[in-house]
This record gives sequence, structure tokens and C-alpha cells, in this order.
Amino acid sequence: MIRLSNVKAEIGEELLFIISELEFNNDKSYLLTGDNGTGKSSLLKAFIGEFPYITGDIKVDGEVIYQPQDPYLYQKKGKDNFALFNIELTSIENELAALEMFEMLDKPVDVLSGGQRQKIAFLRSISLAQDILLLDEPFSQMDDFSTYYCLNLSKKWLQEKKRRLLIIISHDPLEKATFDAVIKITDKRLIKIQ
Amino acid sequence: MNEITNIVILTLRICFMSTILSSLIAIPIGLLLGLFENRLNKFLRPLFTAFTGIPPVIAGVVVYLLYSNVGIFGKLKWLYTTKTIVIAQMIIVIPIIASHVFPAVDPIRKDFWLTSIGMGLSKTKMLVQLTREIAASILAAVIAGFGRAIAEVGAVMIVGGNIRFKTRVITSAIVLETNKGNYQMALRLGIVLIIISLAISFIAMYLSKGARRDSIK
Repeated sequence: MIRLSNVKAEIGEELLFIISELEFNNDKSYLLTGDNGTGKSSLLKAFIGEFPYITGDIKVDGEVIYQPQDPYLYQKKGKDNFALFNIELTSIENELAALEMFEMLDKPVDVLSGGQRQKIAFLRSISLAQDILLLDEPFSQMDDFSTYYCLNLSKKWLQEKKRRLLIIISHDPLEKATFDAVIKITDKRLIKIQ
Repeated sequence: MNEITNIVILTLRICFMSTILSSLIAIPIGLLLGLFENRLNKFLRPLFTAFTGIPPVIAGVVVYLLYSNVGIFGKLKWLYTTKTIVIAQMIIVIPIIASHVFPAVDPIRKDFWLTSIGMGLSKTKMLVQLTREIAASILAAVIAGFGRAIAEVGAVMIVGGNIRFKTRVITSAIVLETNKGNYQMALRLGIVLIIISLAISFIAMYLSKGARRDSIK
């Protein structure tokens, strides 16, 4: 669960957004949307204490795994990104097969396409996440099949265990109906539109 | 063992020692300066860069004063030994290695930091992993440090005393032989110095190409 109270984000004189009270509840999935530069990524960064231009009370209850908009892939090969976090490839072999990822695991990360990089980053994040999973535009460069497969995988992750929370930022329409709530940042405020 | 061989072996021993010790200090400093974006580091980065231009004779004088009989480390009796040469070279080499390492972190800092923090990687693991990420740049930095150490003459002569078979290295021997008018010996030593410098550069290029090749395989 993440609770925001009297939160204000401003960079210098520029106000990004104000939130009086807002709760992201456990066992729910949230789609966070809004125009460019409205502060969606900044809000997620604030949840892990990496956005210094914010004041107010942010209470995060649970262990957070956060995937930034440009996730970093560690050297040298795709599979090293799982080994670094002690993620056994056998535990995700169905997902690797469905996303046709076996070949890219042995390739150096420098030669992977944007979509391939996102697949590795996403599987790495979801394999590690226990309580709260924050994803900033995780599917923006994936093909349609991979996007919806990963989207379903994240929903499955949410339902696998109690007291989990999923927040995804996206500009794509995705399947808005499949989210428990859609929150939009507009006119410097967060509005629940679904 | 003839004199030239002795000088070359002594030079390599001193320079390897000072480069290894400097690397052990400078690489972690470079990584810390590169990874953490705070006020202290913003102050320290240009300071380290500025110290790369420190005149080596000043480093020599400082070490001389520290280790002379009236200096605070005078009791150790290290002056005119290879130990003080290593220390003087370290003062010169540490800023060079560190200031080669931290700019290599720049292009990846933001994404590496956010991802690592977001994935719950500990600070120690982050630093270890960062070493792997910029391995080729670290290697180049160490080679640059070694090149600087082996080319050093002013500080080495001040703290080493240029004692035959004890602290006489290639550069200080070249100066001495030139002053004596023994140009043949000076040229021989000069050729050896050039060969060593070129060999080190080629090895560095080969290794850094290998590091890059590994990352593209």
C-alpha cells in the first residue's frame, strides 16, 4: 500500500502536481497516465525516494521493485541480468519461451533491440518483486503480442499472492478495463478516471 | 647482471608497485566520485582533475620533507629507498587514475543508479557491478597511470637519490648519463624506455579491444 498526504511536487518555481490525499491499495492494479511532463515518472521515483523536489507525506508499506523508463541492462549478456539477482532461469523458462527470449540471453546487451531490452528488464523486475511493483512505460517498445503477454503476466503476479500492488505508467491505451483503477495527472492534479 | 638490466628490473618493480597501490586507492575513489551525485563529489571531481597537473617535483619535495630526518616520518629512514619513490609516484598517479575513472561513469550514471536502486541492489554490489560495467575504461586508466609513473624523473631523483643499484631507475639514469656525457648509455636506456612504453600501450590497446570484443560477442 502507498499512501500520499499533502504531497506537492515543484521544480524551482514550476509546480508539477498537488495531491491532497490518495491511496494506492493492496491487491489492486493501477494505470497511471497523463500528458508528457506532467510528473508521472517523478511520482514513481518519489515512491523510492529518488525525486528530491517533493514535499508532503509518502508512506510506502512493503518492499518496492521499481523499473525506470530507461531500464539499465548490466554487462555483459542478457542472462547476466538474471544471475546478478540470483534469478534462476529455470524458474521463468515458460515466460522466456513465450517471449522467444532464449537466444537473446546469450547475446551481449549492447546489441539487443529496444523491445528485447524491455523484455529482459520486465522479466527481471517481475521475478524479483514481492510486494509492490512500479513500472514506468515498461512495454513502450515491445510488439503487440509481447505487450499483452507481459501485461497479463503482471496481472497474474498481482493475483498470485495477497497484499501486492501494481502501478504501471503508460501512454498506450493498453487494456484500461483490466486495471482496477486508471489515474490521470491533469491540470496538476491526480484524478481517478476509472 | 649488467647495469642496464638491473636498472630496467628495478624500474619495472617500482612502477608496478606504485601503479598497483595507486589503483587500489584510485579506482574505488573514481567509482565513488562517478556514481554519487552530491555536493562533496561536485567539489572533489575538479580537484582531482586539477591534481593530474601537479608538477612532479612538488610531489618529490613534499615526500622528501615528510621522510627527511626532520620530517614527521623521518624515523622510518625511508628516504633514498624505493619506498619513497613508490610513495612519490603514487601521489602523482592516484589523481590520474581516479580522474580517468569517474568520467567513464557519466554516460551510464543515471540509468545505472535508478535501475540498481529500483531493483534493491546494495551499494556494495552496485560498486562491484559498476567496476564490471566500465572495465575497459578502468584498464585504460591504470595503463595511463603506469605510463606516468615510468616516465617520471624529477620526484624520483629527489626522493630516491639516484643511488646506483638501489634507487637508480631508467629516467634518472638517463639524466645522469647525459650529464656525464655518456650519450651512448643514455641512448640505450632511452631506447629501452621507449620499448617498454610502446609495449605497455600495445598491451593496453589489445586488452581494451578484448574487453570491448567480449561485450559485443
